[in-house]
Amino acid sequence: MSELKVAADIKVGDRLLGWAASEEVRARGASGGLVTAVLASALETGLVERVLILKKVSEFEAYPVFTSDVKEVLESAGSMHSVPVNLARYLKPETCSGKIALPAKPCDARAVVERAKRNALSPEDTYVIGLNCGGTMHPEKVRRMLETVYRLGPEEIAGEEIVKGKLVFFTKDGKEHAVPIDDLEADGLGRRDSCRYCQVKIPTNADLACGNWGVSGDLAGRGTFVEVMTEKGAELLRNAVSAGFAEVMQADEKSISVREKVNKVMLGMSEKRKAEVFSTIENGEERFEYFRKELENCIHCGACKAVCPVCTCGEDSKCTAYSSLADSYKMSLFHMVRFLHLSDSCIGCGQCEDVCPAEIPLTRLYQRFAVPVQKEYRYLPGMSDRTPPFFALKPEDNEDNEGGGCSCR
Amino acid sequence: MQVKNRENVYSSICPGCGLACGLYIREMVSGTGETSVSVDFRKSSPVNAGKLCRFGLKLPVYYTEPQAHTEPQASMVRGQKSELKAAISAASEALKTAPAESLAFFSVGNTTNEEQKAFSALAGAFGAGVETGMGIYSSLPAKMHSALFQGMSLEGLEKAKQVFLFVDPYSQYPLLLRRVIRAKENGAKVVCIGPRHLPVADEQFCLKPEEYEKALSPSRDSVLIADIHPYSDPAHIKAVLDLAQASGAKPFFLRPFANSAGTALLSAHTKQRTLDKLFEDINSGKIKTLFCLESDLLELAPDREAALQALSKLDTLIVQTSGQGEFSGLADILIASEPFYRKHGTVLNAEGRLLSVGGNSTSGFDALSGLAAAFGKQLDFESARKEVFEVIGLKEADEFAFRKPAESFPVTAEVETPCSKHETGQESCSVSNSEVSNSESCPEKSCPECSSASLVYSLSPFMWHGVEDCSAFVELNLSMVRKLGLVKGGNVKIRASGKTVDMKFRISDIENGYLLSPLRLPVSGIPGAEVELSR
Amino acid sequence: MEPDKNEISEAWEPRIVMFCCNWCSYAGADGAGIGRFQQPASMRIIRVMCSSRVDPVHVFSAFLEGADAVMITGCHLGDCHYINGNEKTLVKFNFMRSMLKELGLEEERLQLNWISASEGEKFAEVVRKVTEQVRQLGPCVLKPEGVA
Repeated sequence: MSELKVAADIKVGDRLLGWAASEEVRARGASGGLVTAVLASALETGLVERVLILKKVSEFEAYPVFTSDVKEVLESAGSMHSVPVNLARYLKPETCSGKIALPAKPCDARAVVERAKRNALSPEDTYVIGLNCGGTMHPEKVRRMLETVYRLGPEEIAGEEIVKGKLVFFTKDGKEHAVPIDDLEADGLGRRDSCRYCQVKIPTNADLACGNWGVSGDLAGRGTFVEVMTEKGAELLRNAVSAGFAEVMQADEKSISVREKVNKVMLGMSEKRKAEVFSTIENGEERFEYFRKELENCIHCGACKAVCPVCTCGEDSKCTAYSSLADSYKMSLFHMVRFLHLSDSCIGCGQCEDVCPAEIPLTRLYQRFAVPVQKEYRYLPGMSDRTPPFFALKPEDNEDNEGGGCSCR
Repeated sequence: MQVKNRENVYSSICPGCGLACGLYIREMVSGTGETSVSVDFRKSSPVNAGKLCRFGLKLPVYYTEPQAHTEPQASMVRGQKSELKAAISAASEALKTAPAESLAFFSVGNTTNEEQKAFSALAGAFGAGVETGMGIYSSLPAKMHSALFQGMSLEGLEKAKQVFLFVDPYSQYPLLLRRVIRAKENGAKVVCIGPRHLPVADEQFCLKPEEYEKALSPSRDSVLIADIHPYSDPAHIKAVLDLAQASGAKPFFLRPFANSAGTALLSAHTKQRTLDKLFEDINSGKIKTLFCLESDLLELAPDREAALQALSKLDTLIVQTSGQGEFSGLADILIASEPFYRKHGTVLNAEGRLLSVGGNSTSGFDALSGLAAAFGKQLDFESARKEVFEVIGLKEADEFAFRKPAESFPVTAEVETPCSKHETGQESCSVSNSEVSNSESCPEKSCPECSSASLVYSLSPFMWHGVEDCSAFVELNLSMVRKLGLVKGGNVKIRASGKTVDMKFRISDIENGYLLSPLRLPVSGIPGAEVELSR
Repeated sequence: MEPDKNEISEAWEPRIVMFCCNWCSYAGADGAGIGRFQQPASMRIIRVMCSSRVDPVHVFSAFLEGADAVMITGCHLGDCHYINGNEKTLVKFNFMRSMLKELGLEEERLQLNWISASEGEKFAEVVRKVTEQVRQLGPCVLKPEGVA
């Protein structure tokens, strides 16, 4: 085992293994509680004024709150795969004053980046602690899985984790109940639809990229792999180590390669799923009929826009202001405008789909437009600070040879 | 506790209709007491999985804009701002001096079971029951009542083999829609009855109640979904129940107010007046003192102007509400209460789940129980709650448990109230067009002068709660628009009972001879009527 | 309504909403008229100060209201009265075109053409060409029922 790293040595590009210094935090948090420790230390030392966390109600329910209370941060610890919220939406000019830190799945981190481009938050004041994510689950489906597959009551559950392709529930009697996610998904259960074709599993767009992939041997389940992505990330981690909240050491080659392998496997599965879900509809009329049919049950509630983390337009926006319930159009102008606006910006987080009362697979619809456009412009929203192609002043500005954060296309 | 200058998050439910969808209310109270409210999605809620309809998303408007349902709302006594205590004692004085038989107590729901219990206790002190405005209970034989309380889980609905929709889920009960869609995905046939052609329908009918039996053939695995509201046509409800009985299908009744199921159960003993009868009794001087709990009679009244006139004839109008509308302004005594989301207590939803409202204030309850105590009916919150649980037949508020309706339904004395035998002309679909709707049916032949139409209201939560939506238009089908020679972007003139109104219109896929309106038109009361249309 | 529909399709003529920039293509339209270049009456011209004023909302509304095609015209690249407005038009146009294509509309339904003030003949030629293209395609799927 290599030795612990001192705070001053932590720099951008480092790949480390870390854990919380406090026994209590290690016990509460997942994988050694490093993320909890980093958040807590950022608050305690005054590096940030507030953190945005999920306030836990039960294993299946939590809601986002801003807090300055370290106790609340400790209580929020845990992986919470069944609370699929996108935290970025809560970062808006009215709520963002002073420095803020938040834990973020890749889609949260992508939304933070996109919101920063739209001046909804200040990127300098927002510390994003990224978390690896293989997917989240809708609580309604979790209930159904427990009932029909695991045959467990929700009150029996003490915790949950995704390990090596299996969804594991820990019951209060100390037992583990594991079912392969592939089997669950074959029955329409398992992860949310959008997670199954998500293209970013390691949040390399955040300040720190944390997760348990690549943590093995003695440290398995007790340590977190962390990659320092930005100077802000280094600042966060140095702060946690020097304040005695966390301990880190250099990750060995094996850890690094295992993490990379897991990522590859996950991305490969996503690519496969994407090919299935977005199979081309060659005929134009059939394409139109597909969209028309999917949208026919729309009740015009506007939840898809209200929940969308990359939309920062507010109440009066183009999609709503020119669309009226009195229109008797073949397709609502609201949806047409959103299809266009999201074609370069949809990060595929699945929030719209989650909240649609008519169960329209909105993320799939938006991605139908986004996939070809983002490919054409070699632009993956939320992965770099490149201007969204639609905002370009001239076509040449969109000729991006760097790839704009787009590594997989 | 409500904390100032910090966001207070309430795990609340939507007061929009009887489905009681789960949501979060995020409340910011500024140092000066100004309240702003926003809505957030509660995906773990078993009723709606976090999904909300247009009304749910407009709750901030319902709670905080003019006509507000939040504080600061001051109690009033005969036009003077007063302390809550003073308003309560003024109410007590008014109730004491009025003859008991001239009192009436009215509440459609919109509040907790516990408040309803206290309200019932107060009414009971005068030998009266709580009027819920649902005249339907009196029009149906008591033995049929229990069928009106057959809740069923929405998840169970997904497994039905056939779904018969006598409501329009798109506008009236939107959170029903996804369940119907899922039932359809599971292989169910969806049959819709009404003038609007719904995308979810496999079959579409526009029928009179007496035609249900002939045209519809449900099976034991079918679910019949209808709703009960203050304007329900008894013939329609009875025909649905008869159909259910004859076929063994399961009837499932929805109601348009938060906790209208609980309210109905808690006041099931009383013979209910219809709203028309209520106003008639006010006009005739039979009712001199009226106490309304969280129920806006002006929004509910069939004819707003007539209602205003009637209410002015009362000796005393006592209103307990969190709403600040025109109605609370009319009150002689206004007892201000907390907004719905801040209430401590329970609500029974259409499915039969007993849900916690999520707040922690009992000021509304305390006002009512204080009044009840003044008339000899002692009731503290805990005992009210115990009684509620007993009536409902559940041990605790648990969003995953359902009440079992059959056993726990309070048995009423077998009083056969005459049920008006199929008097047509009142029901919402009064055009005799019983065939499967068919776009080829040529209207020109059947009625040479097609300028009259049946007005049907959407009866959405916006309409019941008087919340403005961007919906100042009426709906017609294309052939009617052509026949009337209406111009795109122009208006249609609607005439009824000597009044005329000009409205924008939209072309919709609806039955010939119908005019649908999401808004109340000043030409007609809520039940709708025949109207004349012209360019 | 079925019989009506047949009636309509027999009598159907393409209707094309055309956005013309005030400085070039609108003058080009004038030139086409003055020069008496033959062109079909399929265009409904909307004058805008610059082609970049055309927002996707305008284009979508045109289709939803019943246009069979939409054509945006402006000054040649480099000739914009406002320096680079038409370059922004091009960015937006590319987006709209791929979006409409994905939605199921034929590519020819949305067109972009640079026509200068002196190109009256070109204007008429473009109108003839586009009208013929759209006539081949038939009515647009977004056209509401009851609109010719």
